[in-house]
Amino acid sequence: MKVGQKYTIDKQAFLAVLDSLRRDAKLIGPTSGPDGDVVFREIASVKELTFDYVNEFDPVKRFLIPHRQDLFRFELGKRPTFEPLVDTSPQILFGIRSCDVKGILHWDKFFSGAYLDNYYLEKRANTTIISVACNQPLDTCFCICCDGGPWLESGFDLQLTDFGDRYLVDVGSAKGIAILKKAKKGLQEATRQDLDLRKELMAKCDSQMVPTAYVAKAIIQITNNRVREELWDEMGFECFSCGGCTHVCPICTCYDVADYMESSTCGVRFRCWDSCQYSGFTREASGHNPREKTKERIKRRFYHKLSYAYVKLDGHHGCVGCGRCITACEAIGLLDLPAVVKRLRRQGQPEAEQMGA
Amino acid sequence: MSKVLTTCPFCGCGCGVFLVTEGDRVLGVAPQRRHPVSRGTLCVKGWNGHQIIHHPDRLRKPLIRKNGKFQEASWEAALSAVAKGLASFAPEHIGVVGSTKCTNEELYLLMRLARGVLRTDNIDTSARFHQAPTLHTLTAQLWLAASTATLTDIEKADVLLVVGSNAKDQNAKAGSYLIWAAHHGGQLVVVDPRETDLSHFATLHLRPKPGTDVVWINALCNWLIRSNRQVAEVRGVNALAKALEPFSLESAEQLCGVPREQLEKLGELVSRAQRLVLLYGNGLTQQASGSEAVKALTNLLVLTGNLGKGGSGIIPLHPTNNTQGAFDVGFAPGFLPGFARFEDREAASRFDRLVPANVRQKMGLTLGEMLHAAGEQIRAMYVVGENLLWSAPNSTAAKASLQRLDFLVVQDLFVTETAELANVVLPACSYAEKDGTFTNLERRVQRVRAAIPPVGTAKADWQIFLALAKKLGSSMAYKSPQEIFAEIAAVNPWYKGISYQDLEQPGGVQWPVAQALPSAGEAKLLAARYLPPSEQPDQNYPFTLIIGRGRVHRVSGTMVSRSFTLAKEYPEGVLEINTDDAKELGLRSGWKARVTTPRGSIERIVQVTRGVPRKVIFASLHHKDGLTNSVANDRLEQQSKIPEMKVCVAKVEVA
Repeated sequence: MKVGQKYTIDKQAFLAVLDSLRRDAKLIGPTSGPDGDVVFREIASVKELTFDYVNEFDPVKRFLIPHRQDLFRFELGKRPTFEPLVDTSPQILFGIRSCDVKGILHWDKFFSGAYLDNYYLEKRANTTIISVACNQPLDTCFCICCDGGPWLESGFDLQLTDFGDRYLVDVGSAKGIAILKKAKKGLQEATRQDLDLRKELMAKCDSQMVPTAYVAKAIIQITNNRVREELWDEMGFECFSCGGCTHVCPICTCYDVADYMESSTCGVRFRCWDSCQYSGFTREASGHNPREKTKERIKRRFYHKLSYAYVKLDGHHGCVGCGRCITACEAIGLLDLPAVVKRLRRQGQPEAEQMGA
Repeated sequence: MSKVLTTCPFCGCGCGVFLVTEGDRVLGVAPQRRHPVSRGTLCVKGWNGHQIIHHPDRLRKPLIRKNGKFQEASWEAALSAVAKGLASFAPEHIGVVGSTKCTNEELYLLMRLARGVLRTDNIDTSARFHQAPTLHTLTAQLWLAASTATLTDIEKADVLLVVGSNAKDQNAKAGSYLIWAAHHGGQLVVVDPRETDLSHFATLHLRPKPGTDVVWINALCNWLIRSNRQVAEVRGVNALAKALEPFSLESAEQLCGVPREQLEKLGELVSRAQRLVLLYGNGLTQQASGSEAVKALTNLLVLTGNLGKGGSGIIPLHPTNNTQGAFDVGFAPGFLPGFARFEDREAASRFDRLVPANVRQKMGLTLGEMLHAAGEQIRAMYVVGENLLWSAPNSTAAKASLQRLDFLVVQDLFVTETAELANVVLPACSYAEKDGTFTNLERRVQRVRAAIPPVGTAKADWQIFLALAKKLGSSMAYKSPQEIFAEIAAVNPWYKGISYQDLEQPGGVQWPVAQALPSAGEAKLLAARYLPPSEQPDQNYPFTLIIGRGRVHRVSGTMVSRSFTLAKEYPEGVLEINTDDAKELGLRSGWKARVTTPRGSIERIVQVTRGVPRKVIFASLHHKDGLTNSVANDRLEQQSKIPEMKVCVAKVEVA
């Protein structure tokens, strides 16, 4: 068995393997939530899983970068003590979609740059990704514009494509091979027909996507500073600075760090989700804030999402096409990524508009 | 890691939200995509307010003051001290203050405890400070103190009139729909002396002088009637027309400073509207004519034929999550569940079991009156979930009043400034630690669900009320919030037909289900009078000060200052002043100014802007540099006793 090989497996047989994995790791998968919407959570049996679901609204981010994460406990004094709180418990993320896998791949790079973030990397090393190729896009999905799905070539440990009573399995890593080897029965090498069937399913998924984000022109506009200032002004009035777009984004990683004192000498240092859309995000100790105005913060967000400087650095633009910001934005339909891409394309400087698109 | 579905407690919109928990801790939140109103959105408060739940300031054990100092005590000892303390006062000397943060079930229980056990009608919440005119006026005209439209009606309306609210900041979900409507053919009219992010999207922005709203609304109603643009045929139009005679567009222009053409344009818009939604906030209510202005606005609604018509109506923008619930269960002096009043003897007699006849004989004191009478008529107070020192106007005087009390009990999440004055402090659970229901500003009854066990030994308010009732010898007993809700649904006709199980569906249930909202024929037109602000600018105090909440404020700042992220969003209060006034005074943006009113002074960082009119200044609510409310006007409006917080005279100097 090798990375890159494709198999089919009887669904029940695969679920039996999955159930057996719970002995050594938390198994996290899609379930039906209290309002009928999908909720990813730790399950005690594969019977709790749901297989007919659209992607969850808040991304899997919380399983790797929790909203609040305690970093270390400390005690002050002549000899201060520190007790690191690194979570290394193993977990399996089952059933997550390609767009979210793309997000995780981005964090892998971000947290292992010049500074190695042990809190993330330890948790990540103990995480296994069994993703599914998406067969049920939402009317806000546009991953085909962002190379974020509906299925991936790599980045997962195993990728499943749902054929009803069978899964097509893409092997993505040694971890994935180890899991697949546990299958006692029902495992076969994928045939040409199987691959054609996947192609057909994925083409159907592609055709169901509604929003578009033709980012190329937007990247040119923003990289070359060709966006009229009035457009940013207008967006500044529209934005609620709720931070929703960043919180639900599978790419965004920003956090803030603070201490909570539990007594005069003992406390906990923690980090918690922050947002570049908050004015407190860039305020300096002196009180000066380089991005005091809402419009400056929006400008920054889309510069980071779309400028060529970041495309070059990250290898992709800052969006996986999950469409969550469309739902989360309080300024309905005005400031989500596809909306802004459209506005940047159409409202660039006049000479740029004459150049086409 | 699990997700527990609940209702956001940070404003009156009531967005659907999941609390994300790990073990016994709330780590964060996720918006509810299937919520019929919020549809997957949250504002900055909704995203970050949850950080209060595990703030180190959380009170974990009851405190009893001994020899001037707080000592930790057992629940048994603390409850005995409270019961003993309260029982030693005559009913008329006791004041009970509930919180609009409490669930419906808790407010209902506290109402029963105060009236049935302590036998006092001195019961109120801080809704008095924001929405009292809604309770008093709408019940007189429409027989209910609640919205007659829903938030999603904003999407369908062709004309939207927002008076005295920057809904984009204060009730973001309403603001969100308003901005959407303005982009999709809706005509948005904003009435606010200040330029706001919301007024930017307005077709028409009226900027009346603070405290004069009733005049332009009356003039508009008068003009509609006289120019035959009035749409609906309703009883009492002739009498109203007569009473409105003195209110011409010219007089409105003169008194309010709103150009006649703008009023005519607004008149054309509202008279032609197929669907009109009126929304109003504290800017309309917190003035000497607060109740009168709400009355005038209701007249406008009725005259334009927008009552009892689907997709249009009036929406009071409640700043807090359960203001509506407090009104619904009758948590206000003189009111019973379902907005029945003591004066209505027939209706009131139905409540004999809850509110004994002798308690109904005399209406109790409202919150502002209680504070004014503290140390005199009021000798003991039981304050639940309200930091009165921060939320009350003229807070220096409020503090002195509370210090004059013989006995003060405070029940809260933290040892607030108010709790520091108490004899006994009881630790309460946050919204994440209890079950129950909230009712939002569009009458939507929604579930609140416990996501984690209580922090420390804190107890849910409803459990504390039951334990206290027992200590006071009452036989009142309920097993769960569900049982209490069933009783509310039985006694409040507007809640008839709603079961706790029904509330499981996304967005809960909007009342009423068993009867209809008022129709145009049922409405009562009432002539509104102009009561000028109690303070008029003069040589000594040439400015009018408006005080308002900042973007991250819920009400007073007690909660948001304990959210790490929200506190960062609001490092210091600002003072907005007109560019020309600033020039005259030699003030520049970033400098400090001293604002003095007849009640005292505060210092604030100046922001020079064309967004406020000349001789008007705007100060945002509290932050750590001192209470803005300490200089606010605490004179009470005549009818609903709301303080005139939006209009007070001031002097500005370079600090």
